[in-house]
Amino acid sequence: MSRIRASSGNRFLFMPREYSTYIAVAVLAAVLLLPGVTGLIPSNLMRYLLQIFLYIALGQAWNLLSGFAGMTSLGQQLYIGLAGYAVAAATGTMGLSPLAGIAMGTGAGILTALLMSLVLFRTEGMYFSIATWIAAEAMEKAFLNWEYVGQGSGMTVRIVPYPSVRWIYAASLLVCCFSVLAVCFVLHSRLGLGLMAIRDDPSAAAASGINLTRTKLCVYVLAAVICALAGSVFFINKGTIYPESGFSTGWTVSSVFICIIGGTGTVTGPVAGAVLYVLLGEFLAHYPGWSNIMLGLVTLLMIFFAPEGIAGFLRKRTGINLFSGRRYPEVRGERGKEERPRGKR
Amino acid sequence: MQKIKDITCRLKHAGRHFLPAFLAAVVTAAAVASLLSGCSQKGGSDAAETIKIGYVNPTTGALAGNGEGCEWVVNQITDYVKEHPITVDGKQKTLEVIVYDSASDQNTCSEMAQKLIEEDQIDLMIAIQTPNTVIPVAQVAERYEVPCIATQSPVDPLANSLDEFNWTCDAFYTLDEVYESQRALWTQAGHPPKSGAKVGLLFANDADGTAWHDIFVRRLAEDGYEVVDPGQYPSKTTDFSNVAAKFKSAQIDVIAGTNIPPDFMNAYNMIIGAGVRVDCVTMGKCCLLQSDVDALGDLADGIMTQVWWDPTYPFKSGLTGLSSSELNEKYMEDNGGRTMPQPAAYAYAALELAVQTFTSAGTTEKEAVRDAIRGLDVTTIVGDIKYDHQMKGLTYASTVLCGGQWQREDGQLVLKVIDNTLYPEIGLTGEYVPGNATQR
Repeated sequence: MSRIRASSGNRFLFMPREYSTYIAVAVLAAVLLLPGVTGLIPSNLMRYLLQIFLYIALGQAWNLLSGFAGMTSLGQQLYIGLAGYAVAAATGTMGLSPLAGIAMGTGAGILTALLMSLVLFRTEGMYFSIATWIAAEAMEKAFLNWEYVGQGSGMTVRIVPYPSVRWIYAASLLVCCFSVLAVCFVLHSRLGLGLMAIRDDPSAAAASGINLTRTKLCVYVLAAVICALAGSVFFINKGTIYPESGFSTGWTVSSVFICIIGGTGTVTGPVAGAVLYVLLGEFLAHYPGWSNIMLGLVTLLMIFFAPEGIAGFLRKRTGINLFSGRRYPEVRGERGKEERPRGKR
Repeated sequence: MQKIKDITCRLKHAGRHFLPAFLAAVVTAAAVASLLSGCSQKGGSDAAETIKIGYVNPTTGALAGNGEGCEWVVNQITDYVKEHPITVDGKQKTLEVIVYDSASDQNTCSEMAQKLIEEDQIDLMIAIQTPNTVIPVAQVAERYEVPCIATQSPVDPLANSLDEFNWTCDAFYTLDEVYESQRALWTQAGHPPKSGAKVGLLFANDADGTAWHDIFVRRLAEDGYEVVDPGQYPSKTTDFSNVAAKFKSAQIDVIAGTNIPPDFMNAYNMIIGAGVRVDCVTMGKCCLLQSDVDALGDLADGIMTQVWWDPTYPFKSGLTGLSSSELNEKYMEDNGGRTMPQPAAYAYAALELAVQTFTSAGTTEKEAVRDAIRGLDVTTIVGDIKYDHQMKGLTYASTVLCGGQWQREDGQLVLKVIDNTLYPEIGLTGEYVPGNATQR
């Protein structure tokens, strides 16, 4: 009698292996948070790291949708811009604290995601992608004409005194950890199994008793929350928001770049992709005009030579697989015989 | 016994995957960290010999026309300071201007401004080239408490963007002055205030359009003009048929606005196509630069616009001693005979101000530098700069604004200064010539 368990296969110490992921993330967070908050990390290094953290979160959100659930969204900037505006409105117009702004942004994100799902979930595949994109564009146009948010003149985040780099660093680290943990948690749950089934064949998944709408909704709302959290911290760090910067398609471009470079369908992928994206962006700042050309070139090279991204490439070569969301059937009672496929996808 | 065996077996098993993974993570993290700190230390290396100025320029993207000539201007001033070092903190120092491209994107503006402050450890920030660049950059400078010289952004949008500016000073005109300068041009075309002339407004709902729109609607009504406002259109739209229809049915006399070149080209073509005939067109933004006007071709002929700087202006740099015309000749020599664009002259002035600031402060200490900016009273290539005005929480200096018209001269479109109502000391270079693309 054997049955397939929804677990990632082996165990670490006395725990199922997925717990080790949570602990590793928690330890890593603590290790990075303490020196940041106490000022041991130079503020310029913090500036790099906080960007990396936020882009990791964006990458995770996009990857969760596209890489794991097969819902390729081109409009996640909708939630980024919405949260950015919520922060600006909360701190500037309403005189609330930045934390209240972040909460408002996330709340607005959840509400909008629920509303959007009514329309978006009637579409599939390419139509879903286009619908998400159009929705974000429409939101940009709405904000361009909305007097309360200053129309095209945009808004400024007005907080006195302005949150320090340490504060923003800590916030982005927490957002990043939340995104990694949330994605890992989803993947290790029944929901995650259902997701991959949907990605690979929606009809078969439905026939196997997976509730398509509920599964998709959970994932879509979670991705919106992650984008909203990252977006609000991003715009606290930037200080100004305009319709064309908040709802810029550039956000999707960077998320896609991060996932393709890092490796779609893995949790490690966006981490690697975000590190590369931020470092490359900072380096290319010294060569005006080359930035987008180089990003495009790197993407092309990766697609040709390592289509599975950095994470996939490393796993292939070394068998290393951090924060795995991948599943291997475990046969109960025969643990000694289980063998993870190494060196192969 | 069996239990212990079981545990070691589990440990071994788990270790086989987790340990290499963990080691790889640590090694990667260490490599990244060392790379990053390498980047972060680059800033302070030669801080002792040079004064560092941060400059975010729209080198590429939609505002690239405004960013033209930046590199040339930077070289002019840094070369000058090489020969005439500034004495700061008892040492002779040269100037290093670090320029990053904003790609005409507001998000990049804030990122690059932070990079300049954190990584390059600049002593002073320059925020220049339209409110789209100036506001995000000035906002970052305020947060990090770095002195900031802002210019080439009308005062109003910048002043409205924050409650208080403790580190930034602007040098440009106010939107009321823009309105007054355009009103003087309508007057020249036979439509003075109280004449009841119908003014059709053409404004996008972008940052500039929104700022101008409100002031124009209010002031036009006060001055007894009839406002024909089809509403602000979404930028980059291609369908202006409702605008054209509204202008046609209202039989407007004047078109006024500020638009980016593609929007203006689409709108103007459609307005002309609808049979709208007006006596004058005053237009900001798309009709400021020679390159944009050349692209518009015959459409631009006869259009009137603001002139903030012209090679014929009677100003002389208080720093280098060059006059406007001498500077323009130098620019033309190095840039294939192109006239120096207005924004490039302001870039030159901003760097002049930076040098004058450090000369007068005698230190790079931030508060002293900030106070030195506020106390400046100098002559630059764009005129006298004295920070004696205040709008809300922003200290600013008022700069010159005249009215000009694009006219054909030997087949070339040339900007003639035809009105100096606001600043009579500026000489005119031409006269108003009736006629524009709607009348042909």
